[in-house]
Amino acid sequence: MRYKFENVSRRTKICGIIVVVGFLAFAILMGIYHRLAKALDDQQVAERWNKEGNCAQISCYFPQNTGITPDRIQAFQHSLDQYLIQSSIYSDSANPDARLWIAAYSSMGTLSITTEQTSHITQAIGVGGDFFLFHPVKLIEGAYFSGQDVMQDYCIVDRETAWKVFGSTDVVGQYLQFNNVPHKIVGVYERPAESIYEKAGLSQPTIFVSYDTLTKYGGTTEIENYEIVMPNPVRSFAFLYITEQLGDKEGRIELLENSSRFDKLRILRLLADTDTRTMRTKAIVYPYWENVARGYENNMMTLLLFAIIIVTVPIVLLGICGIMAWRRKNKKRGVKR
Amino acid sequence: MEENRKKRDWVKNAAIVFLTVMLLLTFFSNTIMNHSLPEVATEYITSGTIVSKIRGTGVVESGDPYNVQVMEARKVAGIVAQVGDEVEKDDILLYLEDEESEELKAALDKLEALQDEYDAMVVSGLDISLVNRVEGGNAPSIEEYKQRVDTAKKEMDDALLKVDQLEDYLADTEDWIDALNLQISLEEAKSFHADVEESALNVAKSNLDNAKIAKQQAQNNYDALMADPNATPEAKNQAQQQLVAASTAVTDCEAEVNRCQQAYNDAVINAETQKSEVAATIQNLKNQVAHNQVRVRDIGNDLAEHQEDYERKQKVYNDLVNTSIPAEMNLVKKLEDIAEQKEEVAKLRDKSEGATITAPVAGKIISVNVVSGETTNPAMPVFVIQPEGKGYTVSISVTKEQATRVSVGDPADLVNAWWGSEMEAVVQSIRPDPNNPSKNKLIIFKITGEVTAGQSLTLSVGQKSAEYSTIVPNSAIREDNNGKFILIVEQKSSPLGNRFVATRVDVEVLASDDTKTAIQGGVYGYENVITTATQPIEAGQLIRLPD
Repeated sequence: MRYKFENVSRRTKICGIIVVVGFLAFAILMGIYHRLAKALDDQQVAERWNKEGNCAQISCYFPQNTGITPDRIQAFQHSLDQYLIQSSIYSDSANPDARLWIAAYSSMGTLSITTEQTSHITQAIGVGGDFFLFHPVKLIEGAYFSGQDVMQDYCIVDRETAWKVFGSTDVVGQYLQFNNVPHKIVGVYERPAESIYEKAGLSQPTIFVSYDTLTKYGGTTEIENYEIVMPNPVRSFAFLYITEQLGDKEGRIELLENSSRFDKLRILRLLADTDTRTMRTKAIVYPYWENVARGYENNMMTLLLFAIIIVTVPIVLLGICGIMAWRRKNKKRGVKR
Repeated sequence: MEENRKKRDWVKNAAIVFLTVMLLLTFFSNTIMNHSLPEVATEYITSGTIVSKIRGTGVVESGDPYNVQVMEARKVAGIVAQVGDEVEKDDILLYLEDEESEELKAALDKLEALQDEYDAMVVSGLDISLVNRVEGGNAPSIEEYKQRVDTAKKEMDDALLKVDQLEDYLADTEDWIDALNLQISLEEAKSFHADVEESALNVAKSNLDNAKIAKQQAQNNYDALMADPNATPEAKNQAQQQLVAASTAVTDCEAEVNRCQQAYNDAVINAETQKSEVAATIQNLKNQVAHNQVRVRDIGNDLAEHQEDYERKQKVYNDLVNTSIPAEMNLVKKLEDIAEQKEEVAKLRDKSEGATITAPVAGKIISVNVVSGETTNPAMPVFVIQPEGKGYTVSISVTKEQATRVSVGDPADLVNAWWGSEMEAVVQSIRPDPNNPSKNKLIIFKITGEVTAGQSLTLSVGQKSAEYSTIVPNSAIREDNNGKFILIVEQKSSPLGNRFVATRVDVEVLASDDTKTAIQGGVYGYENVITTATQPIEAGQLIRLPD
């Protein structure tokens, strides 16, 4: 007897459609999930730095009065070099200038931009180290600067600031005055347009300056954020070392491993902690990139929850159908005898 | 039949739709592909120069300013020169009110006070000959004063020595008198008696009496026995023996009495003799006491006399040391002070400013520190002049690494010098920054040209430019754990046309400045290097160039 689709029962057809749609929806949701997980460049630094995956990205967020200064960071980084040597971790690159780790630190503040006509206050982020390797903001013009540059009087302005001060975005090479001290514009960047960035703290025009400049002219005295990508030969090697060196016993400092941030197991654990997730027990002001990442975590928690719910239906249906088919088969075999 | 026709139509339609879609996709595949690829901006690798500049901002300070000071406190009548004025040597800067300065007034007052004090000392009772000597310029010297003091002291000390000697002598004599009196007392306390002998004599006499009584008894007993016819011969013998013994005892006692009597008599005679000797000794001692008492009186008189002499000499010495010599020296000093003060007044009169202050050097007025009606302060300059040709300096603090790129003599450019001033700046010196000597250095620039002190300048100074054959924009340099690299655009042929691929080239950074970086690596010098992209790109990824 030839098989005909018309002979298949209505119920079976409906179950089949539900299973197919269910798995399709699950695949789409997981596709979106993976896309979201890779969407934030800030959180993919370890992968960009070392494609073999032997690195971890760790972020540290400090409350006020923890005494973290560039000197403290320099001392820590020196101890890190010694630790890597003791752990027999060397660079195997043919390039003699290849580095094992990169790090960046930053603080938020405000600066007063003075021009001949006026002066106004602008949001500023004082950066040090390889900040723009961690946060490659979208440049319209120019290039990034780093803490290794000889001069630290550079700044990168956003489109709005460039228009406000100069009336143009072609301003690379021009000077901005902070407390009547000129600083050279080396780049113009575009602030992300997504609303989540505005809600995360990037709603105002913001410029990037060196940490040194923000300290001298913005009144900042301490580092608020520190990020590092370093070798991670085994799980939690980097995280445990950073916790030991920069963490505190009182638990005021927030440390997290970005490279495993969007792993499904971790997101599932966040689902289990939804009651405490919104509680604030630390006096830390997160930078905009961390707030965006946390927003993404929330979205991915929702996606994962829906995906689990959706995929449960076809799996259960398949299970039921399989059991029924097995019973039917046993029954026919019994009749044949 | 109808059913088969329907099936064939369905298949035909499906095939037509499928082929149409495939055709459209094929025709527009390139466009679709291009739209999905990241768009990159590129620049060609060039050659050129890299000059690493050090920038900094500092405040212009006057290189070698000249301070114009008024050395007296005088009231300002009017100011002629203002800040920024160019003045020539001897140009009038300000006018002073024509009156004595405060310093001259004070000096004259002090001179008058000194004169009054001197007059008071002269009339206070000093020796007029001394005053005349002092005023005549023959004031006693220190050596003379010392000589007088030494002489007075010697006399005083000699008098004191004499007094001490007499006191010692008096004390010795009084001690001797006391010793004599003690000896007299001891002699007087002596007693001479024959008590022992008298007592012995009395005992002997008593014994004799007893012996006589015993003898008498023995005699009576013997007589009784002899008279008794019944007495036995033995009793008679015994009585006779007793009588003999008693007689013997009486004889012995009598001899003892005689002996004791003799002894007693001798003792009495001896005592009398000794008594007379002691009396003579006592008398002698008393004579000595009387003689020494006379001596004590004489010594006392002598002592009193010398005591007065000493007190007199002591008074003379104290008076000399505490009163007369100091008074004389004060007089001399006062006269010297008066002479000095007169010189001071004369000097002030000579130095006394006229009614105008003129510029001692030609230059530009950079500071005026006084206003009309104020009194000048000798410690504060009234004008600060920047002499012509002396120049200004600007100090900039830089890190030690930045300082290694600068050498003394390097010319500096002005940043934002849009006002077109003709200024020149040269590195004059490099030294540790006193505010942070462990980390920073101070670069001092010499500034010439149209500039004023207090102006803020931003200067840029750099290493000598160097030629490099491969230079890329800073935005083209990327880095990962294998070091720094650039992404160049390579063209590859494909069935759908030419495709562009981002290819990684590892490089080494040789030098960099604000915008460019000189590299060396696997590049030939004509490659197209990727500077920016619409999305992150990796080596080997297909890219598209802007239209």
